[in-house]
Amino acid sequence: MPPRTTEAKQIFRDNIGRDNPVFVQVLGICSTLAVTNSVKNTFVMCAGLLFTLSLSNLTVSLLRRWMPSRIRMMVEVLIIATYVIIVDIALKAFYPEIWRQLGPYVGLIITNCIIMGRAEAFALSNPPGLSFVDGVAAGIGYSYVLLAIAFCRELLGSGSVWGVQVLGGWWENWAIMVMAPGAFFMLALFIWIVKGLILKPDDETKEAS
Amino acid sequence: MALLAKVVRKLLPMTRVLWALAPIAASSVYFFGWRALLLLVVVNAAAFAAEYAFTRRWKQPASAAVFVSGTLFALSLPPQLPVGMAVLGIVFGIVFGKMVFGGFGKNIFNPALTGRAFIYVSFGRHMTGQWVDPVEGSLGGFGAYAADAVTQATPCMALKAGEAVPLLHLLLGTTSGVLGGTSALLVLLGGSYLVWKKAANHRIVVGCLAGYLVMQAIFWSIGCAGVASPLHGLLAGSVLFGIFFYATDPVSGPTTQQGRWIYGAFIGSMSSLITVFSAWPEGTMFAILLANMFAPIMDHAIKAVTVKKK
Amino acid sequence: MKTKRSKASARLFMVFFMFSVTLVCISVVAAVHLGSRERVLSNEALYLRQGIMVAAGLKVPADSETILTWYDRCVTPLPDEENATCYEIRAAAQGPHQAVVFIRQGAGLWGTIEAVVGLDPSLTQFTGIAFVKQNETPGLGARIMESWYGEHIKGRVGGLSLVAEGTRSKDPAKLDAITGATVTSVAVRDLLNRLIEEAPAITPSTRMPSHAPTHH
Repeated sequence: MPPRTTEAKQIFRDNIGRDNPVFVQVLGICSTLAVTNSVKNTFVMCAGLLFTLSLSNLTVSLLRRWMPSRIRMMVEVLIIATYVIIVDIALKAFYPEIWRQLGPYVGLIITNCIIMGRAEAFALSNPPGLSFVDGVAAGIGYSYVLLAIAFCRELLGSGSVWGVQVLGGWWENWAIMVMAPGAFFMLALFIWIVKGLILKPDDETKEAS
Repeated sequence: MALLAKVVRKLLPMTRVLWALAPIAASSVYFFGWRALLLLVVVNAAAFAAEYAFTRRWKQPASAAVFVSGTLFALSLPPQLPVGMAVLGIVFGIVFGKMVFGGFGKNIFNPALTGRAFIYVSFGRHMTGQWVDPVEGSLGGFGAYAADAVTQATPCMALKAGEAVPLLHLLLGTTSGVLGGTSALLVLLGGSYLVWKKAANHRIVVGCLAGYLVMQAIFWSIGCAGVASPLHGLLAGSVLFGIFFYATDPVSGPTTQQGRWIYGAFIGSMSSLITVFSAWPEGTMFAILLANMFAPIMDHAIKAVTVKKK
Repeated sequence: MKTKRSKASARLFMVFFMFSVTLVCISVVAAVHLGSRERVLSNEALYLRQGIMVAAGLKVPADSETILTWYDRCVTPLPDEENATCYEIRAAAQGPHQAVVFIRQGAGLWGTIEAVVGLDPSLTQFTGIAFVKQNETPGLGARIMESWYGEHIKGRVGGLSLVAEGTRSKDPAKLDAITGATVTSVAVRDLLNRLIEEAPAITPSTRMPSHAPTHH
């Protein structure tokens, strides 16, 4: 099915580039601020989000023909919550160390606007296969931005990457980088650089039209 | 000279501020050695470079205000601060406190304070934990590169801990503290010159002083723990420096006359409040940044009220 | 008439749909929960035991079997296994006392901090600490989980006061604070100070050889 694959490719390109959920749509900022002070935590958060997002997209899309539109949001939240609880329990059972660090944040995946946004904007009106692809693509678009921010913040704020000290004793940690304000500055810089250097103006006008 | 005019736009009020700061800068060298001058020069160069990197792309000269920001910033640093941190602070302050808003005249926050707050939060140990006493001897710091008599606390911290600090030392500035904030006398001198030349608005200054003294007097008279007497509190640390040189920044402050009174009183009372109840020994910086944030709303409210009255 | 009925049936379908989705979701969650329950509980028990071992100042072995046998042999929970708040540690089964470990709570920045804290048999010196529950800010308060922090509490005595991070004072009555996390540091300090004051009163002194003669 060539048209399908080109469509899927387009979805990937959009979510990673000019329709990126974080730096173009500016969604999911709460988690960007909360977890990006260490790469490890961010990675688990991204994996959890990728899982929840792709499967909730798939489920919503499967149910879309029968779902009464008046209660669709309730149903979506219910589905998302179910997947998030499964992530939470799975971490608790198999990765208790990570769960102990991330416990409160995993629950917060439910409130990530990207999941609800993709369900509403894409899964409700597209077939299951494509919706799943869209979920994965949006999840990856979210993840790489977060990981990039987390890399910078952990490096500057703690002198380490993935918990491994890479900068020597001469390095003076920037305490502000592990606090939430550091995420604001880092995200702003990221958006600034991406919009200033990489996204071309005609992309933006296309997006606006 | 022509080249200078091409890259720097002169502004009379800003030049006046620089004159007012000159004796304080000289005193910082006298108290803490030639390292103070090094910090001043490096910080100003970095500040100019940060601003010019933006204005060049806009095909404009940098404003002379950048040297005011740089000098004010340098004078508010602890004498022992590593040069790299100072540069980081001022570049951050200029870029995020000023240039992202569109450059001189459009900034919401005072750039020098933005930079200072950034490194204050980032490098707590260097910004609040390492102090030196002024260099001894008749030549003072003119005969030394850096002061090396390490001390634990500034007068502000001593006052907060309930110790007595002689008023004369605070007036003359023969105490530990930030480069330019130790000598209350010189700050008063420079500040008065600014008010006299109308480079600093007297409403803001009087509002600040009144707000601070009243608030501090209230806390002092009800006997809160760790509250200095209003006079001691005012002369110790950088309260006066903040009031005369930072709070009076015409760009980040309000533009209506009544707004300036409110703005001043807000800064003064908040300085006292933060100093007394927070973990920080000095609250003036945060008070001014908070007030910067509310300045547009103060103006807006006052304009709305006056329109209604008419 | 017809539209009315179809409206009613649409409503009924809505309720039915919501009900069945909820039922499926709850069943899935319940099944996952029950399926992993054993594992979660044994994880938690092992975690607590590791914590007790750290608090007693002992080196924690890598394999969980050794930890569990050590616990069965050398640890006496008080008052009983179910509601234990205090554990007596012996050097070997029936051997001399090595440490007393307490479970203690304190108010952190975002929630309760729960720690297992060990004291030497004379109840004057800390032998170690492990935090079993905390929701402090990652990168700031949550740094109490870092190993140096627990390590440097070893050998401290009561009446602790905080000094700046990195001081690593040799004074046993000083505790390094964590930069940028005043509330957390204060919470830990208070928790430790309170414990050392209260410990003699809550420990059944008869079981403590060093205290037994004076208390009876």
